Amino acid sequence: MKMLNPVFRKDMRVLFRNIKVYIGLTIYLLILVFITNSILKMINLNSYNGFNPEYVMGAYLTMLGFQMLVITFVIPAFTSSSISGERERQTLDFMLITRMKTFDIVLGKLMSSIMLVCLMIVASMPVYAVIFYYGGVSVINFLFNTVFLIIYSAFIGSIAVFFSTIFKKTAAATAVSNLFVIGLSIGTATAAGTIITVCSLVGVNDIARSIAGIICVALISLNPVVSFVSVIDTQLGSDLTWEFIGGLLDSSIDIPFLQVWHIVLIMYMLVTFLLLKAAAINLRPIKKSGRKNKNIRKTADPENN
Amino acid sequence: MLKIEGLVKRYGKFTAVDGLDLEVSRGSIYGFVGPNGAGKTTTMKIMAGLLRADGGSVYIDGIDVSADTDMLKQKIGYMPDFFGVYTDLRVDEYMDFYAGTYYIPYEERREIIDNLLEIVDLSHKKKDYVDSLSRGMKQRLCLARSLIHDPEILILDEPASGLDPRARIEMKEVLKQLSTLDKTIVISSHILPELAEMCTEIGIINHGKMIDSGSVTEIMSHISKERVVEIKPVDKKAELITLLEQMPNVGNITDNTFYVSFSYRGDDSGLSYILTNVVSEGIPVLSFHEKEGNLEDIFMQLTGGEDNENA
Ligand SMILES: Nc1ncnc2c1ncn2[C@@H]1O[C@H](COP(=O)(O)OP(=O)(O)O)[C@@H](O)[C@H]1O
Ligand SMILES: [Mg+2]
Repeated sequence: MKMLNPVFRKDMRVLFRNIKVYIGLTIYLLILVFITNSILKMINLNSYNGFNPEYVMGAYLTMLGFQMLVITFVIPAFTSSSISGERERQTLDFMLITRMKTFDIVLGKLMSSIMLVCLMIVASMPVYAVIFYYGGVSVINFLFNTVFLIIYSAFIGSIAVFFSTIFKKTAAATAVSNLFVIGLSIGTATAAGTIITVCSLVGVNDIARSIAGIICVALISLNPVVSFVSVIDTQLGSDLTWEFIGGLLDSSIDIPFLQVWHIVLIMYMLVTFLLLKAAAINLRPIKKSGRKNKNIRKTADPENN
Repeated sequence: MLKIEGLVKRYGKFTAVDGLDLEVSRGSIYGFVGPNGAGKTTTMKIMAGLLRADGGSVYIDGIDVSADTDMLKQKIGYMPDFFGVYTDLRVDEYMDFYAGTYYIPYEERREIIDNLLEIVDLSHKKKDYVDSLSRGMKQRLCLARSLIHDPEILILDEPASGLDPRARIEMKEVLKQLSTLDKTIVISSHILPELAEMCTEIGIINHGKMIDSGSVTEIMSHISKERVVEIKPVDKKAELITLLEQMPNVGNITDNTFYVSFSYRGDDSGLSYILTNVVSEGIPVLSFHEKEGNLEDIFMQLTGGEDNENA
């Protein structure tokens, strides 16, 4: 019989008893209603000659942007205490001595932060309902955005879980998680820029250009703004990211089956997995390596738990 | 059952555990005693697999635990000296969580949890929030938690520390009950008398080294090489003291108004020789007896008396 991850199960019990969660969701919903309401008002003002479904789509995608923004800042605040909080509360050792693999512990923590995002999506239902009422947005759009938000929250959550295993203080883990997202955005953009510059300096052929293009897209897709644009792109039927990178590389990349959002989702899932693995290794009280060679182990090893 | 060989643990340049050897036989209650900072917690964390040793090995039933951590986790139950609880969980939910971490099937949990809460006398608190329990109750709950996977060996780090006398007694009752359940128990304490009566074996640790180990009586006999004797003369106390000063292996002669005490290193015949001398010198002896060695004195003597209550 497959068992629900025990850490997730426990955290859910605690989560639903936490009044702050309900207050947070209420505030979130109020802001969301305010934003969508303002946009829909604008739509009404602009629709003397019948109503334009594109505006509704606009409202819907703005909502996505707002949700991403909330995830980017709320998930680290919530999740970076996942491990350090257990450490501060002196309950971490109890978890580490059990038969749970450290990967399952960090996975359970990540599932909890994804659950928070699911709650957020459920809380948004009234607003979704109004938007569906206006029309112009399909159930496919809704599912697409929901899947995207969940994968995005896994990505942001895994960063927070990772730093939570590194820093003993939750505050430090939160701050560094936020800085990491910013750093990652800038760093990958710089790397992509370097590739583009090198490509233009060294004359390369078309196939090499296309490959360089895909690598650049893969890199910058870790930037939340780029991933947001890619998701809007496919839903509006445009191709902004490809065109932008293609323009810089002076090539027209045209790979019909590979869209930017595919790369975005693959990259997010890959980074999520790698960060969780790293977090799990970090959390192991006794690292596998070093156990063998007694001479190496003689060197001083400050371990502080 | 449990065996430690040449265990070493360093924190930076400081050696907290320094070539420690220890052996605990199956079914015993092993008292692991030493002053604060002796290295008890460090040793126990290594036993529980929470800390990596810098040298030496821990064996359970002859198997090196570093080679088989899964076996270690299944066989060892551990209760740390300091621990926390979750604020928003009830007692049964708390236990259920730890049952989950050992992958105990849902349908078996209820019975296991009910049994354990019964043992630690918390059945009536089952639906209470963990945070609302008293310190002693939390300690007992934590003990129940460490038993959730039915481990063979139980490692308890200062289970009685920070408890009021009544809670201590309750804790002891629970531990006595556990020893009847065929568990091998290792308990640490910085106060020897607290453990002596309930332990079948005792190991005394100081500065990361095992200084003495064995049954309580064995440890007593090791120390009793230095005996304290009290003589009560009718009079002539001054002469008695002068005489004792000339006797071999006698030290620490103290005038206690009604009697004279001295320490003596040697066997029974040497001691009787002293008595014969005293009597033949015409000193009227009313009583001559050896003072019972008290465990606490012995402990102080062994560890250099640097023990202090709270740290
Ligand atoms: N994380 C640590 N870093 C540095 N020194 C430590 C650490 N943990 C314990 N020590 C030192 O190691 C020694 C042994 O500590 P401990 O095992 O806790 O002793 P006990 O439990 O017998 O009181 C002490 O001197 C303590 O200061
Ligand atoms: Mg200690």
